[in-house]
Amino acid sequence: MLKIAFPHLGYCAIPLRAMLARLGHEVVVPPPISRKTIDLGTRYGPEFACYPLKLGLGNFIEALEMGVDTLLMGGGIGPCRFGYYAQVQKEILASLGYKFRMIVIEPPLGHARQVLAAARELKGKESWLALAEAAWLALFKLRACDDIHRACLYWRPRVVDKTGLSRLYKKALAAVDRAETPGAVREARAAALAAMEKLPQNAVVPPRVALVGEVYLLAEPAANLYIEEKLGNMGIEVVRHVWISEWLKVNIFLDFLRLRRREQAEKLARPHLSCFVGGHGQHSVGETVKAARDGLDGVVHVYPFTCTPEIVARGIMHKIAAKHGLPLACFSLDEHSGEAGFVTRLEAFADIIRANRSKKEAVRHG
Amino acid sequence: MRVGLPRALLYFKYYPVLEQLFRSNGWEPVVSTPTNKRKLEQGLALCEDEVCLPVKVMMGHVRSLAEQDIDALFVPRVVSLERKRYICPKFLGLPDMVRCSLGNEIPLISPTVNLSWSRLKIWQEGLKSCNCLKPWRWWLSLNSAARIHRRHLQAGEPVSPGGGKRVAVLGHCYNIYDEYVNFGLLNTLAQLGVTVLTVENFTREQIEEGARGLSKDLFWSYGRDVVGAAFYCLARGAADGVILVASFGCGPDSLIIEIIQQRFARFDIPLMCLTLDEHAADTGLVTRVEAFVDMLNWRDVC
Repeated sequence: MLKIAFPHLGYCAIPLRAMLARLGHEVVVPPPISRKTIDLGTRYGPEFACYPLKLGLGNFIEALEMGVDTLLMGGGIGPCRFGYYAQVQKEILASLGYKFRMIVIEPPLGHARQVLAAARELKGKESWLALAEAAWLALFKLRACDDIHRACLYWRPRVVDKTGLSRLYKKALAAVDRAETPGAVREARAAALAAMEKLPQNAVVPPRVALVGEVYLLAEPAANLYIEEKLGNMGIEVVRHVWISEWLKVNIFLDFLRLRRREQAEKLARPHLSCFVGGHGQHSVGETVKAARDGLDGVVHVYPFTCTPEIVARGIMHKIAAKHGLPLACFSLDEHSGEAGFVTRLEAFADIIRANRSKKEAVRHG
Repeated sequence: MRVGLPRALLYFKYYPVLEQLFRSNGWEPVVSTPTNKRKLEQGLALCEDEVCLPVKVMMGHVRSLAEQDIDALFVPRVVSLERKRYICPKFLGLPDMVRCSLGNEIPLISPTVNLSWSRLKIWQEGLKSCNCLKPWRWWLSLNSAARIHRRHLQAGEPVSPGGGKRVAVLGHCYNIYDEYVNFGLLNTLAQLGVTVLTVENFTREQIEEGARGLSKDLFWSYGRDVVGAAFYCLARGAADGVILVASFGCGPDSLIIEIIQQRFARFDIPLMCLTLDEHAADTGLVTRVEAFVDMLNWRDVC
């Protein structure tokens, strides 16, 4: 039995905890990302490294302080830096004097042996069937969380009582966390979606903006300064295309089975950025094109400061947005991001979008 | 046909091959003049503010070439120079960035360079992306280029065991060999009487030996060379001091420097990191380098 911890990534702690607990491990979910986490990460992390590395490092330090002996981390094969995070974090933690083991899960294609070894370690004394079952439950929970979150993004600008929605959202995630079987997860999900629908609503049709960028910053609200919630509370619907469950399906399973096809966003990006640049750079460009094509009201781009793939994408996105007259707000975030300046920029962006809206409507009504 | 070749980024490593390839296919290479203040300023105006210094410099060179009398501009899309290894993501998007900021002013020649492909595939890619090549001539010149490159790689000029301390200056070729960007770092060191070693002074075998000290193989070619050379210096005492040169905000280097620093902290070879950006000033840099060399020299006395 391992006493195991993993870094936060939005609500991914829910499926991960379920899977590891099912396999009989003692799971320690690190405390939610706080100022302390950020401070620890930036104090010991490399100066120019991107924000996700520092936050993950902060999570690990807080978990190790709670007496964890094993850390779980993802790997990769580049060119994005994420593939080397685990090694760097391991060195830093070891130099701080912590004693621990780190299990790194590499992408299965080309690393079958490492993945198998990691799986065997996670499995412990349980059977392979139990591992598959645990992974299945985790995936189910992840899908449910994604669905609940998507619904929350849809309803937030529409409902009158925003705090009530937040409360409902938290309760729904807790219910998914408690569920023991796929059936119970399905019930929790259905109950949450139904309850959100029943909340009293405004009559207005909210403007819609696409939220694009780097996946960690999209999925971790503490890193993106709760941008989805803030935009929603300003009465703007946030549309997101990058979801963790989708990402796993495309980049892990289909990739492993060599069935990965080019996604729509990648196809749309090709005239502007014709090849993969690591991370989600090409997706960001593709989704900007998609937003313009689908008649969305704006695009918000979030990425960690010094993220090379997104910087490459950003220059190109500016040109596309200018061509289509689409408002584009870019936020490169790190530990220095101040809340007040961020909110001011978001408010200004929201004003532009509303002004564009009323202009369009004035034209339509002659 | 006059083809513009920016004196930036990988030019510093591949100029013998590139110029040979150009000439043998009947192109006249128009190489931009060395980086200067004007080029850097033009580059800054064309780029996103968060782009790293080498790309800003590259854009400056592209701009200054665009003002000259050329028929096309050579900006390749460099994907990989070794099997299963990449270089930085910015090289993947470079032609798109250039096209984005220059518009359609000048036709770009941007073949995809992926040296993990077979020679036949590289040949096909060349024909596809540069429609002015003659197939047979291109095949011959490709073969001779491969030969030249292999010789260039094997060279790894041994360093004359002259007097003075040996200082390894490690970093990406475009930061080490662009004198404007690093304020003549190599000259400053030479004037201080030290023997300078760069990544090119280490043989492939030495770099491989050093890189074996990594817990997971690095997937960036140049980063791996830097780490390999630094670790080799540690293991074999090949240098008395190491200076790492990186541009501000460089993705791969942010992790590579950390790995090297962690390792060097446990040993007795001094290490210094210099970070370059468009705000750097030569006085501060020279002072730091002088202090570093003084420290190396005094270590024997104390």
